[in-house]
Amino acid sequence: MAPAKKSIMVIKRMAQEEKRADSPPILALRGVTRSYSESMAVDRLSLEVAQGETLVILGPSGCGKTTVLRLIAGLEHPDEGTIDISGRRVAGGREWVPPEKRGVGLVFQDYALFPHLSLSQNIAFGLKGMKPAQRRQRVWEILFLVGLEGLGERHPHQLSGGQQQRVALGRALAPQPQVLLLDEPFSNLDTDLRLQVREEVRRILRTTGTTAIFVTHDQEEAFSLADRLAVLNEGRMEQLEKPDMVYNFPTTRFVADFVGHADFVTGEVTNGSVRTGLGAFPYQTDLPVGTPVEVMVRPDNLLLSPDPEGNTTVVERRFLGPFNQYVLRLSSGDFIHANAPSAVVYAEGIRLRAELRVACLTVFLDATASEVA
Amino acid sequence: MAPVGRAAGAARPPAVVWLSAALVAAAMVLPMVYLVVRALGAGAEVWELLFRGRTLAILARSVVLAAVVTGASTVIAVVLAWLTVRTDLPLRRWWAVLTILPLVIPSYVGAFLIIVGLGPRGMLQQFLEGPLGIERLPEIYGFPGAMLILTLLSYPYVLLTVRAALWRLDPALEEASLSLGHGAWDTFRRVTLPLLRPAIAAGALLVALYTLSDFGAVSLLRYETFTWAIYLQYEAALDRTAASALSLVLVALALSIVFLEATSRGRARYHRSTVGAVRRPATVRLGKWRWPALAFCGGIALFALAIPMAILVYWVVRGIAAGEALGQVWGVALNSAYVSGLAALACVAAALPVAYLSVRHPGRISNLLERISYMGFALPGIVIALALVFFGANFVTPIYQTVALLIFAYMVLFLPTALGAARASLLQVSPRVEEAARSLGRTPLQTMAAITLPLVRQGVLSGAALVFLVTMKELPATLLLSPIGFKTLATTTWAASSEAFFAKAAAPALLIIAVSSLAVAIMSWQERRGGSGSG
Repeated sequence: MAPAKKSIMVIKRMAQEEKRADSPPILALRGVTRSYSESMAVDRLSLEVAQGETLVILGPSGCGKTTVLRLIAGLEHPDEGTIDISGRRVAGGREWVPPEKRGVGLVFQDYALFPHLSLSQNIAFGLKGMKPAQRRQRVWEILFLVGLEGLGERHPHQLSGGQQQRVALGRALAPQPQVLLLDEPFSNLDTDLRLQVREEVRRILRTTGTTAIFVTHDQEEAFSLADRLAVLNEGRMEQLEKPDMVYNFPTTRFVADFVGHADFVTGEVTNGSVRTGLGAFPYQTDLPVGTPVEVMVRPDNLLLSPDPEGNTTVVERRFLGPFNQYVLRLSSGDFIHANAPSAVVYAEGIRLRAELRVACLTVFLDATASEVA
Repeated sequence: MAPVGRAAGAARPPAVVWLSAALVAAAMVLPMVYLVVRALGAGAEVWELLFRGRTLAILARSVVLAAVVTGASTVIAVVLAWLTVRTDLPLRRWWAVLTILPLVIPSYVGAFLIIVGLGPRGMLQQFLEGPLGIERLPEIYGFPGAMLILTLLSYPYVLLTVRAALWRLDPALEEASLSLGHGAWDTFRRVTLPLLRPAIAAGALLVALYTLSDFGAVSLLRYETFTWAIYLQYEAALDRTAASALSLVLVALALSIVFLEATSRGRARYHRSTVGAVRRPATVRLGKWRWPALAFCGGIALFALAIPMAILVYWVVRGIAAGEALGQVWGVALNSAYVSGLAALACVAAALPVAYLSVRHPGRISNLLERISYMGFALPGIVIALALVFFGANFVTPIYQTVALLIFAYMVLFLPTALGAARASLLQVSPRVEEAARSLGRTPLQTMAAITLPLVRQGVLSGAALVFLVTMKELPATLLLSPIGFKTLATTTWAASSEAFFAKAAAPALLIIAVSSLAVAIMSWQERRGGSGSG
């Protein structure tokens, strides 16, 4: 089952990517496992984050991504595996460093501002061992950094959602944490505000050179923030790469499906190619001839043209504003989605030629077929 | 440092918290354990005591009184709740408040007033003697008086739970029943009433426990149920085995009622089936029925509130006119305030660690500790007091007959009140806020001091105020455990009325009612706050 989910060609490429660590990582998880009585929340997870890097953990709700953050922050104990921060073992084996000694900043989904303290007091909360003058200076700097100068005496309930978000960020940044963890930080904001605050946060992280880990289920957010993107499913790491690589070359069927929209057309390995309902594509593989496979097709990778002899028939057209999305039926019986500019309209029942335009074919073993075998 | 664990919560709570919670739980079970050991230690004699005819008669009287009072209270309360929530009854809001208020009258004050009003040579008889020549009214002592006064004073417990449930009821369920062809009465019987069942059961449980553990009314009205029998046994006989045995039967009775209520809840789940904004159900038009409805509400308010209060005020005035020394009352009130204040402190101190554990670190052990701490809810005050009298006299003689032992009894009895308030306010503090403090460099204890305590302060304080006020009213434990010569408002009222010094009893009784009214105000304030969600 496991190999059936992996994209065949990309497996080789993964080995090369692993070797990218040139500077020592500031954060390293190795084989971290955390299970609750009823379920596995995080399953043998390993990842490294370099100094100044922004890693985004993307996954559906309940995939264990928040648990990963809580494990790093020390709010949960791992059952197995180790966690190192700046080369210091903070969890694993007999080692345990409590959250207050880890130097990890946290920004919560609901901000978790202290309701009984003013903004200045919230921000100063993590500043210890400082002279009062120094502390005032630092609080002022942070208020300035997050654009809330002059509001220091207000209390959290007097602020808008976006302002609360910025206070939460400032409070976490004030003690200069080695790693900043952000748990779905924008999910409580309106769509317009979300975009604006996201850019703001990105700017602040760049300015301060903070190493950060975001957790989100929003793809667009993930793409725009991530230096590297980790896709998590049922507690397991599915793929960890640059965002565009994850989108264009998903290594597992889950990633292909979850990140962006994808259809899978059935096909068969022939000599030096793969034959599908969309046509035959050159493809080098060690798999024996006749092996059933599936080829990933994204709606925006198809070029449509009218052709009475074409390989597809229009089943349905959905108007989506900038483009039309067509549901097409291949002669092989597969259904696929294709996007085309909304200026041209193809009526239902018309035959079209659909061409797959990709730099590199993404092929999976046919899950259903392999299970039968 | 700490080994890797699989417990639900991540970080373990500080040892201080565990230790103090365990200590509190141990203190809670101490009186009961001692009572059991002592009763069973007496051997065969106990079994004889338990199965003789007199014990069975007491059991029968207690069960019948509890059953009749619970039944009558439930009927009155369901009708009042429906009238004040769902109909166009004139002056609906006023009735809603007025019919809850009898809650503030302690049972011994109620009994005192019923004796003054309806007793032989009481106010009603004297009023009727002149014009009509009536020299005897039906007997008020015994079952009729106890049943009447306990029903009138305890139906508000059911009224409160049923009213709350009626407000929460999803109107869509009734509308569905109507749309399926069931008429209004059919819908009430087959949909509304079953949906109210958990609320009715919860309120009835309170009434049944209240009746079983009531000492004030049955002692003044000379109706020998368990509490009164235990007291007589304790006063009369030096052999305390009989009192212990009776206490154990009473506790068994109380616990079986709690168990009965728990099982009656059954497997059905009750919640709104629709999401979205809360919708008010349609108001039922009473039409010509509003006159009997008004008469019913008016009658209840008259007999449970207006007449008793009028009699009380009359006697206070009469007492003052007769030169009753009011100065003494202030000294007694000060005593009451002193022990009640200490009780409030003790309850809050004991409640905080238990509440923290059960809210933040739910697990088998912390749940057990919490359950144990709620024990005082089901235990009659006289039983706790008796156990502590024996225990104090035998093992901790230095604190026997001191205020310390009295405070301990109050703690066992009223910890549930403080615990409820502490839990409710802790539940409103998001654990994320505490975690934020940890990630900003504070240890668990520092986090508690800087974040948790300031945030729960208000709720905990209102819990403390509530404990203070219910302690003011408490009678049996105060009676048995007060140091010699130490009088409180409750014991003064009770002692004066049991000796028929009605003018002397009136002023302290009025003070207690004033204090209880404050308690009810705080409770309703808490309910509103709890209902407004997290903030």
